[in-house]
Amino acid sequence: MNDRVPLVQMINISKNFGTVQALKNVDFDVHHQEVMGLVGDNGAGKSTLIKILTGVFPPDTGEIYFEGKRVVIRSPKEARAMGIETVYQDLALIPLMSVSRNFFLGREPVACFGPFRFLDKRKMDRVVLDVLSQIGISVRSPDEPVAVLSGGERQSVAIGRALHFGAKLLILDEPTSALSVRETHKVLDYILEAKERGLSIIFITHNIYHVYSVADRITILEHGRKVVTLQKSEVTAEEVIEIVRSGYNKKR
Amino acid sequence: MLSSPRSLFFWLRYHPEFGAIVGTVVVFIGFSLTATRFLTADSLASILTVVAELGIVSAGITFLMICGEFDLSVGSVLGTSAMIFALTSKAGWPPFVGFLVALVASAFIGLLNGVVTVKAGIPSFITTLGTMMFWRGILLAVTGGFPVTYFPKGLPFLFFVLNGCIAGQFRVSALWFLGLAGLLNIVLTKTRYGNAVYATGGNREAARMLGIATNRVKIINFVISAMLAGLAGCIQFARFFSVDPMRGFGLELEAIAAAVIGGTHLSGGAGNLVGTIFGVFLVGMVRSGLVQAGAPAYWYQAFVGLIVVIAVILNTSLRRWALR
Amino acid sequence: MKRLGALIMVGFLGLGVIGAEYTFYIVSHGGPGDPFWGVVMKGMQDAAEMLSKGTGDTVKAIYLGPAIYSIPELVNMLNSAIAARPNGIACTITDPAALDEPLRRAIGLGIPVIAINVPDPRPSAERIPYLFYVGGDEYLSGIKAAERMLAVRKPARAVVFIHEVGHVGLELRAKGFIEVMTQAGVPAEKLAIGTDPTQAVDIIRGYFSKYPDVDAIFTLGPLGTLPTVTFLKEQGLAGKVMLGCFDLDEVTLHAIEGGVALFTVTQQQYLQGYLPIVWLYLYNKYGFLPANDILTGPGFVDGSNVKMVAELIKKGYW
Repeated sequence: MNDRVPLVQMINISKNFGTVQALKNVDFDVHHQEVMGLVGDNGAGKSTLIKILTGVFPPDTGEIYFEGKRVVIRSPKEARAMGIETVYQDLALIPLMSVSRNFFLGREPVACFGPFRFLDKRKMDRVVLDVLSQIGISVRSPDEPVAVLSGGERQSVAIGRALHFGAKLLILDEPTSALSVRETHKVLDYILEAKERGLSIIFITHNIYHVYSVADRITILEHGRKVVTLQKSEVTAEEVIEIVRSGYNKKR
Repeated sequence: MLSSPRSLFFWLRYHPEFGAIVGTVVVFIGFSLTATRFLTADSLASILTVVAELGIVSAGITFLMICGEFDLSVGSVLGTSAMIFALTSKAGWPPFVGFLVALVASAFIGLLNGVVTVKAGIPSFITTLGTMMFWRGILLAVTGGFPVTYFPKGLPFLFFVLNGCIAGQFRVSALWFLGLAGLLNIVLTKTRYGNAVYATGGNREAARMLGIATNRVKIINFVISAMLAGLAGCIQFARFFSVDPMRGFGLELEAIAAAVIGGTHLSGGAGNLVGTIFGVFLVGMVRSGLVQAGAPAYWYQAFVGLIVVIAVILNTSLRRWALR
Repeated sequence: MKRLGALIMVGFLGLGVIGAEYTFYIVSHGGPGDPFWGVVMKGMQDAAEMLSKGTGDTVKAIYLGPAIYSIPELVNMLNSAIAARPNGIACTITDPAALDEPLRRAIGLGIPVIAINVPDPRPSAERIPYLFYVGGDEYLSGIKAAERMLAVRKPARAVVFIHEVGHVGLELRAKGFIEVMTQAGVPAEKLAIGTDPTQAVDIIRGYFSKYPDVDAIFTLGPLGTLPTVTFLKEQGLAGKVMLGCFDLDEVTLHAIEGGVALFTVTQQQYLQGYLPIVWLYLYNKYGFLPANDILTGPGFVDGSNVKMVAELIKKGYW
């Protein structure tokens, strides 16, 4: 949905690492309730841009606006607090821990016993089972380790987690690259459902077909610069692939 | 809960300490049958005394291992702490002050371990291997190799609190062990901090991305591990009144073995103190049981080693089976 | 001319007054921080001082030992000593194989070599041809310790607590003790107790519960004595069970003073520093040689001399 004040606006972002210029004067924005694809070849600067947005490190130049207000994001914790959540491929969930613990990691509900605060396990389990059934995943118990979930299920749990905690912007880094065809479709469906429920999503991938099927707009980066942002309606998936491969030519 | 074999299957997933419990019970029964006086109060009290001291150290190391780090310096910390307690007692300082100084010194060593590991990015195995040798060297240099002995007139109250006899040969140290292990287990399994510990060990990067202060968690756990080792050193001194500079040498491997037998993953992210309690019992009673069963003296080392390996193989197999 | 002659005369006279200079090395596996070797060093220094004062010669003695037990370090230090071409070397034969080449080389260069503290156990045809050995005899120590106990009474059962299994010295002490006891018809064996006192007490207790008639214990060093004394006191067996110890430390002395231990065996290591210097001097100057090895141990500290020894320990002689 195109609106006048985007959910997030990154203006004139540049970042150097020593002699390497990872980003140069990049403008990037995402609207409310929108799926924005972020594509580009390796080294294009996608992960650098996202790391700046999620507070891993600051930009050298440029500004970030969130919900219309100027913000400075100093840490992943601050980004999370603002409503920006990220699902990195292998870093979204911790396999050895239970679904319940993973779901609430960093934001566990507590029950107080005098001066002591203990995890409210009953509440945690209840919420997790609820969310899982909404997504359509069945587990024997919320204590099951995440390791028993398939790749697609894990992605969905991570998305469901973001939704539950009222994230405004969800960044998915290669969500479908290790998944089977069936699982990919489940995840893509869930992404659309999340968008219906008010979430904006940045979808980073190398698989243009996957992102094309769910994106509203697609931003293409190359060698640290933004090449172009296109509405899905104005371009085909093959054309996007071609731009990534050989550069953008305004006259078509 | 355990209504069917399938339920057992799943229950095992959430309880890595199961193997240790079964193993300990089996070995306990075995010794009770083959060694006539194994089940006497005296014998059990004696085993419990060994278990308590090893257990306090092992509890601390377990807590650290779960967040993904090792502490090989616990033996040296135990020795250093005991030596500080001994030297201050001998110099006439009030026992409580000497004890506090020993604990603070232990905390400092743990802090150093943690900061160096985390800030310099060195594997803790290496850091603590280095500090293990460093503090042992300091200990030898400062004492000149002399043992330090303290002959108090009467038993200072603090010494009684640390390791006095209550009810025959049973000692307060057992209460320290069970109390501290129980407390750590509650923190581990029922608090936010515990969740952060599991997360840090399970996948440090993921935990960090989710906003967990993984560096802080590790440093805190290093301090806990060292302080518990220091406490054990003082507890031991409160009974023997003498410390030699090699005290605690080699302790770290037994402590880690007990934790691993108890289901703690070597790579971190899983385990709990209940498993460690049983692991320590297993390791602690093997020697005693072998002596009482009349096994040839020079076979103890071999037997202890064998039991450790068998226990770990069993645990790992159980874990794999449960996750199928 | 007369003045020059006078000067030359004074020079020669001076030489006569200054006398000869001798430098001896003690090379050992014991580090400078070890209190046991601290006593050896004192013996060495005292001998050098006494000789220098008592004769017209200057006697220098230098101690070399690695801070941490290391045979390669020991060999390095020995080689440095040999390179200095001293008038004599006293060396611990801690590892005969490793020390064989350097010591034979030293002897080949005409440097007198004495073995101290640890002899070369090989038969005389094979062993390093040092002049003689100054030190204790581990096996004999065990024998004498057992004989001492038997002189008090014949125990129903005896046991040796060994805290470091495989340590050659300790094993020899145990062997001597057990052989004498067995010959006297006393059942005797070794018990491995390890170096952690808490575990050791538990092991000892387990052993006693299996053999309640044990009434003679031999420990092989302070690491064995501490848990034993603690156990005996806690179980109320102090004085009822005969206890013989090894080496001197506060716990052992206290046990003897308190009647918990009958005696402790000592190798009087002061003599292992003192005598080699004296003998190397006598050998260099006059060619004297003892007919046999000189045993500094077993010596015994018991109720009769413990107070005197306690005082002397403070001064560094024991």
